[in-house]
Amino acid sequence: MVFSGISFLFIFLPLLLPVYFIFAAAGYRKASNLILLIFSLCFYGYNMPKFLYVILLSVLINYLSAYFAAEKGRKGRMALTVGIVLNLGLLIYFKYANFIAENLGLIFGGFDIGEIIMPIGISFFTFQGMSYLIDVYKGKVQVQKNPLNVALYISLFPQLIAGPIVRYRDIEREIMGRHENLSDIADGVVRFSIGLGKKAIIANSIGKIASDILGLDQSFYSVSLAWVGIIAYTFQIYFDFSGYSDMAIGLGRILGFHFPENFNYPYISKSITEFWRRWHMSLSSWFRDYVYIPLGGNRCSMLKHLRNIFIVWILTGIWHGAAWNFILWGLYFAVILVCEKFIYGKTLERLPKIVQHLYSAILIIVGWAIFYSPDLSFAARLLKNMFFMNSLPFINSETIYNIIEYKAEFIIAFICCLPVKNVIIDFFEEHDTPFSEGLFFSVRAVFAIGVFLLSIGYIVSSSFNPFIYFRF
Amino acid sequence: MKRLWEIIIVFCFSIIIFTVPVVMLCEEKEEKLLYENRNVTEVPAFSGKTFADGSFFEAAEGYMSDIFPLRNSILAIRTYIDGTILNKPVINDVIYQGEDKPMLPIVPHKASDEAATDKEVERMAERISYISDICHEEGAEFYFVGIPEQYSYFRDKYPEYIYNNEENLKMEERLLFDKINKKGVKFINMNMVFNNMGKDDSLYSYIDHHFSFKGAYETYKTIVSRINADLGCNVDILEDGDFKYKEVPNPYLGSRNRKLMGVYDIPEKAMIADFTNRVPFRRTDDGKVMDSVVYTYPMDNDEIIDFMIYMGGDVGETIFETHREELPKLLIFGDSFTNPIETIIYTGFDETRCLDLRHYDKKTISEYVREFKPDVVLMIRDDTRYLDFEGNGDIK
Repeated sequence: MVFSGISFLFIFLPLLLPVYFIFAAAGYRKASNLILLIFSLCFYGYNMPKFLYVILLSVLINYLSAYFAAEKGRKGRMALTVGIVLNLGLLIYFKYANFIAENLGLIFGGFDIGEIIMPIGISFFTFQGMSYLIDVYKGKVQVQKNPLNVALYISLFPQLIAGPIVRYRDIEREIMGRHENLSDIADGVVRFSIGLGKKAIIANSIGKIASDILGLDQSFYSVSLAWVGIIAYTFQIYFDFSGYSDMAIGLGRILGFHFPENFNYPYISKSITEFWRRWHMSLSSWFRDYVYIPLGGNRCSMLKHLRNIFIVWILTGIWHGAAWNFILWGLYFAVILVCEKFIYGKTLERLPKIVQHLYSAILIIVGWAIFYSPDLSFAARLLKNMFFMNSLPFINSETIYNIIEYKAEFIIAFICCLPVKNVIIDFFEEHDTPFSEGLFFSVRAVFAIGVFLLSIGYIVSSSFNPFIYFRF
Repeated sequence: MKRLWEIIIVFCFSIIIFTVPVVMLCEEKEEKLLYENRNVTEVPAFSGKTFADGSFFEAAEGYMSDIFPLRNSILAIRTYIDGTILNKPVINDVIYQGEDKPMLPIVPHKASDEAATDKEVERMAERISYISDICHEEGAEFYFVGIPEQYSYFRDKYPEYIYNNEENLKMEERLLFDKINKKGVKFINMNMVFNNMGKDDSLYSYIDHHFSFKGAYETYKTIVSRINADLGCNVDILEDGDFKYKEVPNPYLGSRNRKLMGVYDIPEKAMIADFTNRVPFRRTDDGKVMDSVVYTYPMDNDEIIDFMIYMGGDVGETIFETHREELPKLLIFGDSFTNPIETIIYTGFDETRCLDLRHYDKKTISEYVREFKPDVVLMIRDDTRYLDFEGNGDIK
């Protein structure tokens, strides 16, 4: 089930919310949690019920291993090790086995293991489970004795299939002690509506441009068309993913949870270092806390520091998908980050801001070209097309068509990448009068409901509704 | 103030999410989606299999989207936003350039590959040659009739910056007619005929992917003239005095304007032939005797009509019997382009049989020819289907 589906908006939510709030309002927290757990499992099982066992297995692994990992000493270490191995085993089997077999087959021949279908969201819930297990072992959180609460944490539907990666410590207290209130519900509705708008109005529309252009035969390409296509994809992936995160955060807020932010206007970054502080923040911080710092972070020799950076970025790449282009994508950013850190970071800061933005934008777009490509040869061809290396004309009729046809989408997407919301909020905060407060809240309400209605219109009128991040 | 607006937000959100499912449940369900030219998505029976493989829920999602309250209005608003507010030249995959130019489709890009096309064309030419040979064995004359599809006919009316597939259309046409010519197959290339006539716009619909009735008439005239010339027979060709063009006053929904939900339209009416003296005939569709009519008339002047007005749409097998044994027997097979031709061509033959192999599977076309023993066989294809090996291209 997806948040931008009719069944979610008009069956799942109308069934869940009244039942949930009746019990929550009456103070039956265990009952409301149980309802949330049942609905979360239904949400997960909606499209592929046969994979429900995978998430239940993940719950079991993390519940039991954390239970024993809470004990100090050898037994705790053993439980932690077993838990991590089982978590990674599950992830490797479902996500990477085909890739590994394919590559071993290329080297040694005869590694046909058949097609293993990846359950949706396995990368997200596995990382959540592991963070819980590690935090319990390190004593950062109390072990959860009630398996239903662990199941709720891992399977909580708003963040289940596309993040943000919520850590147990983020919602530990809220599992049993949250307080749903009108303000949170209204904030949640606004956030959800905006996220739905990002996904249904912008990402889906601009995604069509990207898939149409990037799926074209080479003979229709021009340099500018390659850029238009990959810029469209750059917008699509941001609005798709951040829209989903907004919806998750909004739904969490409606239900009384406060999930961490996942995006902070990443495309306004002036460096790649800054970009990765603004993009998919829950994943970056996960790798920082559970891989980079345990490896020694930057408090070690230069060589080890470099090693740590490369390990983290190769893992970041491969986390996104089981293919060489994702590994290359991770390495690409590792190299840039190392360069910014050790070679030209200071120089970059001294350049005019517009140059810094341009530098970041180009590198980010090139990164998405690698990321988008189904294989390395496609990536090479696309990059060559973008950088005048395939003897293509600079502009052709396809470019003109796409610009004329989709100018509105590009303009809207560009504006929505900018922190306009923050500027508006700052303005109203500076002019803090009862009138401006009223104006702010009324505009916010009308905008949110308007976007919600428009999104429904786009959903109904469009069958093109794929989520990019489902493959993760 | 803040609290009041919070209440309003939650209230509006709740009203929307709770009202829609209630309306979906209570509203009378349409079975067909007129503007989308299809049935409402069918939800498969709930079973362990459809549940486990997700197909039940997938179809349910499509079904709910199809029966969504005010669906047509929502689609119309979206169409209006795209066309008027966002000023898109292409709306719902249709190029709308105002009322004085035809509505044209967006054509998927296809790389031009002569070697690969040549192979495909050779395969199709062999099939055509095969049925042509069978016809000759049975004493029938065979003609392959190629007709340009609407977007092909109006290919020069595409905006310069929009792909019109011209290269492939030209290449396929050139290769196919070259090859069937070399194999001794008789053909009529209506694209060439229309070009020689000066490519009159009125021969094709501005709002549908077919030709207009005038285009069908010119095709009919060309075919019968050729038959007369080749066979030395004297099949009557209906001329101006035999019928008048008559405009059907009803709103006409073509495959192009259908996609624009009535938001953008071109005032075009369907045309039919109003005969001075109609040749009497007996009509049988798929073995069932029908009324002796060739047009499906609407109930009143407001009813929306479409291309189905000609022959009532696509039928597997239609037989016209005029009981004039001195005249030749005709067999036509092809897609819906044959329908308006059928409404007039039967007048010159003793018996005319029309097959649409997309809907007819009792016999193969060669079995049919051997059994029916016609004097003339016409295979009619539009030029976007020259390399379609399914349906009427599935010649056995």
